[in-house]
Amino acid sequence: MAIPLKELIENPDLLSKEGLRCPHCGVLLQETITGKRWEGDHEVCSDCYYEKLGEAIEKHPIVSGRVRRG
Amino acid sequence: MITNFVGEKEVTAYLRDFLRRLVTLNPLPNLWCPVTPSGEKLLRRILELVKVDHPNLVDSVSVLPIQLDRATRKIAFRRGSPSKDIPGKSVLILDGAIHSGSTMARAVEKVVDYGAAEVCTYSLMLKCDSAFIPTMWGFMIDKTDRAFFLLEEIPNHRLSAHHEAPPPLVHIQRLDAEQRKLGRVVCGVKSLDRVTWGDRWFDMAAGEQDKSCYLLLKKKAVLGYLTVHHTNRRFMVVDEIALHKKYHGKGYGGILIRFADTLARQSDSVAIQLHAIKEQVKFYRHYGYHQVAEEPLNLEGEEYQLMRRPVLRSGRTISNR
Repeated sequence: MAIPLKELIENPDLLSKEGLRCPHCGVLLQETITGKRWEGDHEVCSDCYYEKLGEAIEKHPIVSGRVRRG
Repeated sequence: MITNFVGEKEVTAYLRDFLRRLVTLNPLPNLWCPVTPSGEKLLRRILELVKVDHPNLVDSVSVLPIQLDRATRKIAFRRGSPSKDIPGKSVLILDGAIHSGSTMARAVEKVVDYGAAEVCTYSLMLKCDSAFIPTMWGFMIDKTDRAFFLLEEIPNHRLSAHHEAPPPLVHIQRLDAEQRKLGRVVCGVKSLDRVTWGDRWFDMAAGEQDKSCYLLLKKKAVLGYLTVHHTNRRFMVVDEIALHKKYHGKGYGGILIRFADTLARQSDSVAIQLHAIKEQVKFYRHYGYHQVAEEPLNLEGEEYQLMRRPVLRSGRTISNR
């Protein structure tokens, strides 16, 4: 059954306080605060996402072809 | 790109007005469905207002929280029994924020499928390019803006790759003419290491692609750099990201790619694209990039594949090409 509003007013904790957490660092994922980004098929916080991506970029820099002048 | 902070006083004022309008509806929504933790956070505040301003609602309304499985994009009901609770009801679906509008659209579709008599929708914040416009909303923000509401703390931005560590004392500066004599960044990739700051400055000043090169600096030492340009299809291309070999493993790469995303977002780009070395294609796929059907780039014996990832933005999707 749906929760009667009266019951909810008496006990607001029937609503969830929790949400999805980052599987790496455990932070509660809130899109505007921690970011929510896809890593494979699960969501992680932006900090963990960029940390992993950054490690790869350090090892393998991003390159594009350029026209050489002179 | 504006960051809006909506405090407790403002949120209360918006919700008080919303409730005043809600109670004039006929039929009055008698089943309220908060969507995700953001909608439930808003409902908590609404409960306080109902108690004081609209006590007559207390005995006539019930609540059925909705959640979204973000992996499957499927709507589910966290409690209750939708097949019994929804048929014939006038339903209010409320969320804290509508970005793309897809969640709200799915929620409406679901409650209609379950036989709702009427559906009313509300969101405190609405992005201007959302594909879904609710019945009522508090305030609208631009497509690249962000909004925070009902936070205990207001977060600052920082140049950092991880929240556990204090931010490193670095800054980012757009390459200028004075910096052309700075020491080179040796990253180990020949095609990058032989390019001078003068070459990059020339590209910025006179190149056809209107490139911008940003340096990651610690005092006067250049730790790494990022070069980007924008295409007329509103893609932001990452031409270069590299870190000096001696600064690897300190999170600086994460700072630069995060800053690249910020640039893409504030320039209203639809996607960010880069050439990933062939061995890393799978890795980039794992992080949300997809392979673009284009001939690989061959540079000095190495093969690079064009990859693209949509920028986080509302209301639109992009094609693979």
